[in-house]
Amino acid sequence: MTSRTSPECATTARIELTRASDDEIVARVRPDRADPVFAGHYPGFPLLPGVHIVEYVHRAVLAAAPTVVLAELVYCRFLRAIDLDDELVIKVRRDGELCHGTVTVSDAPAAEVVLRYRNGGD
Amino acid sequence: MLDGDDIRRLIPHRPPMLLVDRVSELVPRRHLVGSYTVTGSHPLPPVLLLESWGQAALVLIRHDRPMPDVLTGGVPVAGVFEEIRFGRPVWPGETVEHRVRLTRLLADTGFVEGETVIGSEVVMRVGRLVGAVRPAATLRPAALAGVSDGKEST
Repeated sequence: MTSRTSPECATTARIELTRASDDEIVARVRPDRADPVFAGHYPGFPLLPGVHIVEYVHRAVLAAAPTVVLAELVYCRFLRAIDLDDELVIKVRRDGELCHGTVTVSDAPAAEVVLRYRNGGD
Repeated sequence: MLDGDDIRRLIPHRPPMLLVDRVSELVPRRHLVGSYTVTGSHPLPPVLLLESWGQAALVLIRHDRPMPDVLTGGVPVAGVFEEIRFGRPVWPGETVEHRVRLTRLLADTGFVEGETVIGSEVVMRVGRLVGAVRPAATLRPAALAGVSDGKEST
């Protein structure tokens, strides 16, 4: 029997919140090369999982609004592969329960992510 | 029907990012039922529940065309997620059951939908996931040059 471990958190990358207001969030993040997930995604060819990009946007929202709970990934489209040395810039426009996120690398679009939240007490 | 070793022969994900333990039902080009038991000490993040479901979908799409190594078999990439609704948290020790239905398959691009349940409780619904397989060289040619030279380049 093969032993296995689960990644306990989706990413070890640190999100740097650079701006947060009622209607806009801006953050920066670099993938963490030491993140153990890259040993398995993939051996000999470490590649940032697409779900990590969604997680980065989610973490940026949580940094600005810690009490919200993710209810739905409404939409996500990936536009390019991201290198582990890339810095990602995340811009989120808040519109009620929806957060419209764009992720860019060197000003080039990398992903569009729309998330829906509910309040933690709901 | 398929256990961990079988799954490792079909898809390139490896621990700690291999998030499917077994497949109990697989009807080619139609549907799959797979499972994953959460370990650790924290709830499984929603995006990793989605990753786990996506890996089950990849088993369905590629069971007849195994791709255990991305350097030779291609890299599975997600293109679009739509209407992924999350329910209650999934806790360590709980086993989730992924139900995947293949709605369309065009060459190396698959369109899938389904849900994840614990018993009779739905903990995630997947409206649509579109995934494809791309040659590794098209994603990161410089890294592959290093790999082919036997050097660690990334």
